[in-house]
Amino acid sequence: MAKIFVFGIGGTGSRVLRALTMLLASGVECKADTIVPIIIDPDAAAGDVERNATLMKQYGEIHSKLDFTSKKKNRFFRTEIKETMTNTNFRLPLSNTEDVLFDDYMGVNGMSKENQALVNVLFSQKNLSSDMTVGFKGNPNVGSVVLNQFDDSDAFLNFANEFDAQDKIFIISSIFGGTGASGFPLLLKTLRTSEDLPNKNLVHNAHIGAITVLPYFQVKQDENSQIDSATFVSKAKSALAYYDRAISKNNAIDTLYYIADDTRTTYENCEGGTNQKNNAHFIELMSAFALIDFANSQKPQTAVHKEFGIETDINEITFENLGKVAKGKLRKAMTQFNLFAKYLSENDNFLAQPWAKDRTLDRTFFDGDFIRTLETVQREYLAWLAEMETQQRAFTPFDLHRDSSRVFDLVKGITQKRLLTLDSNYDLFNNRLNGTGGESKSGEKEQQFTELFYLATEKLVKEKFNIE
Amino acid sequence: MNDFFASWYELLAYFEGFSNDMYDNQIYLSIGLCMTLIPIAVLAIYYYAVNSVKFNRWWHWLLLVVVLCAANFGIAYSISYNSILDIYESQNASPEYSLSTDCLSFSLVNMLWCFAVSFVWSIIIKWGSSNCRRTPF
Repeated sequence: MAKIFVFGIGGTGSRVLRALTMLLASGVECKADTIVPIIIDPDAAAGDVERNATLMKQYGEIHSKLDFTSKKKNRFFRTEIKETMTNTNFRLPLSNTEDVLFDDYMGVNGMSKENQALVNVLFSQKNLSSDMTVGFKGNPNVGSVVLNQFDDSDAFLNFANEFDAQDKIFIISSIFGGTGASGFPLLLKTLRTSEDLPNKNLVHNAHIGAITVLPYFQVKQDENSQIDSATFVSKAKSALAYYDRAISKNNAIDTLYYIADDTRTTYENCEGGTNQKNNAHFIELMSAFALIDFANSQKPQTAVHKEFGIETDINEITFENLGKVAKGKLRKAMTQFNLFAKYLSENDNFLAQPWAKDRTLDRTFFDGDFIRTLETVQREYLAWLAEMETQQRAFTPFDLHRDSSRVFDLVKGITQKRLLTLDSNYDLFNNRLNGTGGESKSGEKEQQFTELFYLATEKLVKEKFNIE
Repeated sequence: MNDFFASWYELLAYFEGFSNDMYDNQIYLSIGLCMTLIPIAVLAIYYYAVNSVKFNRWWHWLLLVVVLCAANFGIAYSISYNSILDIYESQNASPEYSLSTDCLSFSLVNMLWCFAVSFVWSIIIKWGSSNCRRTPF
């Protein structure tokens, strides 16, 4: 049972984990049995963190009801997502950061005059009077102090305890903010050198990959906010120079992915808290895809650096603009899951269909917890797709309409094929569901239902869009 | 076969004179064959050629069977009336019963049997249909 422990640092870490959850829900092939997300964010109330933790829990609930033995073909929700410790909301709790100002956190008042002078050189007054509850507000110098405590945390020790020889580690962070930029090198140093960890030899020599997200959005100018987009690029440059010296040249990392976008959406300037809930972005999706790529890779001899690019520089990206590998991995799975999600959200007239009657999938089943949770995740999936369409550089591979008279006008750039049948739209969908047998008639109802939709949507995307 | 169909029809209704003429002239056979074979042919088309989600609800099936019953009513009336009338006309005689009334009553009986036969055929053949195997239930 190979696991990948995924450290998602800061807001970007959570948003990339959200994209990863969506990819795994849609069945994108990941060469790992289990993903163990560990969110590192002092801003416990951040909207992005909360939204993503809820989503991953719901994913886990659905996964736990399904069976993935070798006979089963279903890939929806195949990879397990689990917590290192229960009741932590996937977070690695940071101690002494709630309702504390940065100078109190460091105990500046108790320092000698010389040390106080040094602190004043390294940190501005704004830094020192920052409230730690909402994170580091784009200040990596603050983050590098506060985050230097990973190996004290129970969740971190639990991670090290659970770490096995075949497991891998992946770190997601942005380079232009506060938490991610400071957290990544500190975390990597702890993983490679900490002597206090259980299984320290395994962890020190683990296959470790990371994605460093370079600037891909900006925020509105706000004099009252410590976050200023104008500093994003200079901060990224400084951090890159540091990473080169401290990470790449000494092979501390095995695979380092870079991604960026110079076409940037402008978000509201929000220092943290529940309002920090950015719309999904293509960069986050492809950052999650970096993890899929990493999962398939072997540990290299020396550090490998990879960058992601699209085929053509356009502002509305479809599957046709992705490279061969990304297109091959994403298009089929995302289209299948999109169809699955649309079916349940736009259609409620299926109880009389043979596929439902054969498996005694009745009103009680469709009103039950499994379907409710599944529908919630699918609504999130459709919302996530819609959010990516709103960005300055939009990812818009699907026609996200709600029109049951043109269900298969779905994948942009592909004209649907006409089939020799009287049925069209959701009738055609039901037709293929009715015609699916085999393993979709064995196991628990939840298993049968999901297997059935996987097989039917697989057939539909092949027949209608020639996607295999 | 004529005996077989005669016993079916006369199980539900026996018409003095008319039923004898139907039996003696083997008219039961042709009407009985139509009543059994037309439904299976039409239902086979419905279950296997049409085999459509668009038409797989119980009321679609009911409508089809009602049409089959109506067609069989017409066939039964037409064959029985014309055949018996031909027989009597060739003998320059006329039946001692009201031909049209008895033909009408017999056609109603044929319609009932058509419904029952269609139902039975449906139960037997529906299972191999991917989209209509749960039609009518």
